[in-house]
Amino acid sequence: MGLQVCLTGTEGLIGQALRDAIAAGIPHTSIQTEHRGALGRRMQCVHCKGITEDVILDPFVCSHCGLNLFVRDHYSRRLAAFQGVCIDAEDPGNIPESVELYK
Amino acid sequence: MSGAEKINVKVTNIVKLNDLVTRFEFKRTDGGLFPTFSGGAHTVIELKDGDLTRRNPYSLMSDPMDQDGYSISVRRDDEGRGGSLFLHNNIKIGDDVVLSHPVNLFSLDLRAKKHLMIAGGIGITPFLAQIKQLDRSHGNWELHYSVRNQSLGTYVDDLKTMHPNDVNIYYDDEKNFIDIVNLLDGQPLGTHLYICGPKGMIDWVVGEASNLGWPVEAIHYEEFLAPQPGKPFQVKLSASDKVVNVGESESLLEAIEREGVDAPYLCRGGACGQCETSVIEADGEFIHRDHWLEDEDKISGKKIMPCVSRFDGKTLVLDR
Repeated sequence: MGLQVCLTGTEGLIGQALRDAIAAGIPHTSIQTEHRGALGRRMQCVHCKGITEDVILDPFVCSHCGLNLFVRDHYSRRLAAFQGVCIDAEDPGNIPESVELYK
Repeated sequence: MSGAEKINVKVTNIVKLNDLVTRFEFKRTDGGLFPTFSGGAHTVIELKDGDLTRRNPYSLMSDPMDQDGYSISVRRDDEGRGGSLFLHNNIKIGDDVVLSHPVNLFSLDLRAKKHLMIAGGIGITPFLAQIKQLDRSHGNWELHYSVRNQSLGTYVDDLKTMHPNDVNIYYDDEKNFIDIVNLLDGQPLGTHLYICGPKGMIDWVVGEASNLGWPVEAIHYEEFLAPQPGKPFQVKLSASDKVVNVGESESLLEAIEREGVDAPYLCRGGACGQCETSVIEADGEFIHRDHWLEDEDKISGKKIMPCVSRFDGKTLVLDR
């Protein structure tokens, strides 16, 4: 104990390293992070559980099941991913035009 | 009523463990089951001593999953305010007393990969319950237990017999001390540290752990403060419109309760924060003894923890 960890890189990479470091027993307060590189989000599709990396469009198409997903701000530390939820479940095909995040 | 919910119990057994420590065992008077608890929890025992109601917190040291009975082990303190002496000298098998529901201010962090326990003297009691809890879940733990000498080694034989590989005993009179720096230095990632014992031991272990860079989240300790006697003083309770004289050997909280004012509390040992009370007016010196208030709160003179802290001066008005 007493180990300090410093993580730097994209949000997705930091999130996954943070998750594994915490699982190894390092409290999150002993881990410093610094964002570097692209801004895309690491998204988990809540329907098929597949991960799509580097998402910069909202909504986007799940790279696993093909559903149109809304990019939520709901983040899971356990999964190291944001939550993507089907945007046209009630009215299939009614999909708003994608906007670029972090413009 | 303030405090945790109450349970009426009968003393079913009293076992003298050594010159200083005695175990008291309880069953419910209604014949029902006790709530389970988590290792490290304490109960507040309520004892009628003439007109005086004594309320003392003790760690539960029985098996947390055993709902048939609760046990506490009490060290006799000949210099204290008499609560432990009263238990030792006056309480008999068959007596009716009141226990509070368990409250845990010293629980295990179950995310830990390993639990490293440091006990000094009667500080062993919360660990006895935690060890039973961890054994049930096959937890990884290790105990380092420092006692004055063989004859005052409370539960040493039980612990050594049941857990020969996980228990390490240190005898002061044999100049046998915990090598804390080396012990802490070799611990694997994810170890949590737990300390219960005298204040000097807690300060020493926490200090060495901090020097080695242990994160505060991984350091847990419990030190019950007994209220200390002090100069009598007077306090005005604004909300209840009462003037209370606090005697030499009673705490401010006890004096408030004696006057029939229902003041909040849980641990009665300066640790939990429940009894925090706002000061409306004060002309004098506060004698803060709790672990709860931040230093700036103590300096501000706007807050006091009546379970352990006192006052020395002309006027004290509390919002109670």
